[in-house]
Amino acid sequence: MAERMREAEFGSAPTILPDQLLDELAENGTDVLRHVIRRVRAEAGAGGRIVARFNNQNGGVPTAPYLGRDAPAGPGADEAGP
Amino acid sequence: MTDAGPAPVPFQEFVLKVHSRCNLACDYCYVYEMADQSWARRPRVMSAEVVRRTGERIAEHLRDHGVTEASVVLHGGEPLLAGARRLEHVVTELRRLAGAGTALSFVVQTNGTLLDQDMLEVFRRHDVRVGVSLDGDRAATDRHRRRPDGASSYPATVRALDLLSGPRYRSLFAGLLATVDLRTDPVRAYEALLEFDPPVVDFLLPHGTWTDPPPGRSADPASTPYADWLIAVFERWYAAPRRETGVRILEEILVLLLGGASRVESVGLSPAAFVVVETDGEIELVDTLKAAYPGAAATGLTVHSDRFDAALAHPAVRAGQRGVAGLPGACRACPAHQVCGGGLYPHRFRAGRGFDNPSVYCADLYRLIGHLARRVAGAPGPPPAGPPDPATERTVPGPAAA
Repeated sequence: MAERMREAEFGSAPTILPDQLLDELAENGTDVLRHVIRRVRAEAGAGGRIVARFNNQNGGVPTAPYLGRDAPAGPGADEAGP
Repeated sequence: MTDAGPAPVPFQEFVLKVHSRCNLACDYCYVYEMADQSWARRPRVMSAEVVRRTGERIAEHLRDHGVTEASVVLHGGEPLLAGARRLEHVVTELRRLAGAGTALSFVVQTNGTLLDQDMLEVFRRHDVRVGVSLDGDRAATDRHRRRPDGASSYPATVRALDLLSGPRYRSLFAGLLATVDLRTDPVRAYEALLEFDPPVVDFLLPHGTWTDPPPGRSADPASTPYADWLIAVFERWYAAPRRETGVRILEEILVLLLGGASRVESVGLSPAAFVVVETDGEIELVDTLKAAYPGAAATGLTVHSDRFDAALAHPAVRAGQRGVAGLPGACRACPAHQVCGGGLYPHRFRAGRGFDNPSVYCADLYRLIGHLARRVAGAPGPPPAGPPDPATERTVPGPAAA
């Protein structure tokens, strides 16, 4: 995941968070941020490919990423909803 | 079609226009009030034959690609105009045709005015989740979401939300969808939605293009009114001691900043994996393209004669699945492109140049993403908002963090 974060570097604001800092934020960040970190880690652990859904609605987002025939199997994300 | 890009990602979300008309006359609606007027020639309601044929095509597509989970969005127009019995038929027929080995989840996106107990009982019986559109409090909602005679739709929607958020139907509540209006106080809008205890809310940017810009979006790149509006919501949401709800657009940006992948088409570079079926069975691209120009969403395909695989080969679908390679050159050179993903595809349109442009919201997205990135990295938030400005009744946000 850290590798992918490096790819997403944005301007002068570090979006590359070392795993150690991410661990710290997962413990001490705001509740919103902790929720997001749990989701990112769950999805990274699940494998598969996340696909983009129709923007003009709020529900119907499956909890598990798409596991195509060529994607590694995984346990699925552990969080419900977007 | 030959294509050197990655293999197509099969559709996993099918947006069914079960009814092509609406009982409201929202002035910002991309279906009725913008460039494309194809709604006028469509049948009002999706017939049983089109439902059956659509179900067969969905089953065929999922089977051919080894997909065992997919979602169906019952959409419109106002989908509840189709009536409870017809919607029940759509759900049962599509599940029957998909077969036991395929899980189809359903969600209906509604303005809520027709959502009563009978309708909710049908949805409860068939596990159909319900997303409701509402722009905030009554004043915010009344700015745009009025009935054809000008009457407010707010009381009826609130009645529906009281039912939906109650104990019997709470599990069906998918979330609230609001469209940003710069005249509305952002924090007040967020808190008004929060009163219904939604599992998630989202704030959609009003549709617009470079040719027909959104309200208040000037050509000055230093002006970022939509970013400023969303940043005010972000600060209220992010700093809460406990996460009160999800705010989809903001949460998706945070996920992307942390190296994850977006689940929605409006940001990020995840492959778009959805397709639209109109009431007459025509297969269309994302219907918000109707904001760009007449026929922008058309593919020339129909469930009566074409497989969904044919739509997968459409250039616009391929562009939405190519990731970075599908972005305009100007976007690829920008450090934010992995996060914004070029924004929502229809917002890139400029007459004469098509969609090979950054989003008309580029400056706003850039500023919003930068703000969130800095906050995640530990920068302090802006000072608390001041008192409401008596002239506009909007709270005045403090200066953004450096």
